[in-house]
Amino acid sequence: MEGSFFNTIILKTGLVHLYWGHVVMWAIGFVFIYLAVKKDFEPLLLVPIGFGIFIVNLPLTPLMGIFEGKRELINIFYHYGLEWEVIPPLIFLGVGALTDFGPLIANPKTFMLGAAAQFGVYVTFFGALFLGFGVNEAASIGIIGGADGPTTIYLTAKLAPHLLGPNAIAAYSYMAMVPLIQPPIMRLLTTKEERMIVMKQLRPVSKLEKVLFPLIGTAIICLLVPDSAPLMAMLMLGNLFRECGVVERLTKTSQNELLNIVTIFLGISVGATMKAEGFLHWQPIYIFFLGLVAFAFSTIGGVLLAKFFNLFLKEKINPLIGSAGVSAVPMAARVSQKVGQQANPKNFLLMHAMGPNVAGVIGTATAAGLFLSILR
Amino acid sequence: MIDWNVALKVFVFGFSGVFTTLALLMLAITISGYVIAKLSKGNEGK
Repeated sequence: MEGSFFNTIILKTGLVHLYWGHVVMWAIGFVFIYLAVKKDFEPLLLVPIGFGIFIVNLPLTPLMGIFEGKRELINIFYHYGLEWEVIPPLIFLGVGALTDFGPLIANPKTFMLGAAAQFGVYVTFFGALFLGFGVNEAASIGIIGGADGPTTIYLTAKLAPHLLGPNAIAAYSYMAMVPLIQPPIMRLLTTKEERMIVMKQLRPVSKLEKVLFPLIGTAIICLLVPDSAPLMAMLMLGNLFRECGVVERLTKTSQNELLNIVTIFLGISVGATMKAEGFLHWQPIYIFFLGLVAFAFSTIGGVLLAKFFNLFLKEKINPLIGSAGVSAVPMAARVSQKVGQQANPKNFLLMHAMGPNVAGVIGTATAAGLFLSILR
Repeated sequence: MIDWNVALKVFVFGFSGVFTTLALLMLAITISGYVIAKLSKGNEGK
């Protein structure tokens, strides 16, 4: 009797259910936490993601399952936050409230650089198909090339929810590694003379233009690609808060408290999708490889279109700003600035690169909307 | 088995759709900027 009670107690501890896969996942979680703490790689996300990976791989923890018909703690965050599409649009609200679209309004042709930088999305889509993924899975992997975490999560949750963990991790990992991935490609595709091109200072943008932008943007994008509305509408609402100047409290809440709260739920929910049983397969390895391909080709697309523009433009644009068309805001723009200054220390490309950078956010959300409208 | 027909459709409609959408947005922003500049110049003239 005592023996069987003891056995039951032992069986109810996680210890006897541990296997090597759990330990591997702990190691992956710890690497994310290490990268965040020591290397400052996307710490706001990698800390909760890393911790989520760790705790969900402690056997028998009632966190991510469903027990007697009720969802467990993190499963509730996951279900209502991601499956119900709440978190990515709320993050877009915060991003909109933080974003100054002025450089894009001052130089609207940089919209096209944001579009060209979606090239990697479609190259990777085909790459994923060749590697044996289904069409929906390939679309969710391709969108990693847009370098936009919330959009990747939004699309993956709808098209291939079983890939949510690896896709989100790949997107955020490579976003953090933009300063390592992009510069060699940028240098390879441009001459020193091109990198030295100094661009004319951007014109000032009036308040009226900035207030009208989110309204015009919402109307055009949501009319053409209604499936992108949850992301675009919230992005533009956040931006309207910021630019209209009469709802300072809402702007600050969107930029800070709300964004921080949903980031916690997002991080831990994404991390908690990475259970050893589902993660330790060939698929995540392919996804990590494809994510790199996606970022590389998105960079190539942006730089090459900028070079193509220069064949026709009187006032040349520095092709380095094309690489900022991948969304990773503002890191990709900073990379353009840094590589530009290496060629010409007196060159200031940051504001010019912010145009394609924020256009990339719109471009990726549009690409996601188009995937949804075709595939659902 | 991959449905290459769907894949090709996704590529063609998707990539051209992104360009078309952003091109229209570019056009709208350029035109609105032009109109606003004209109007503000007109107001300054008065």
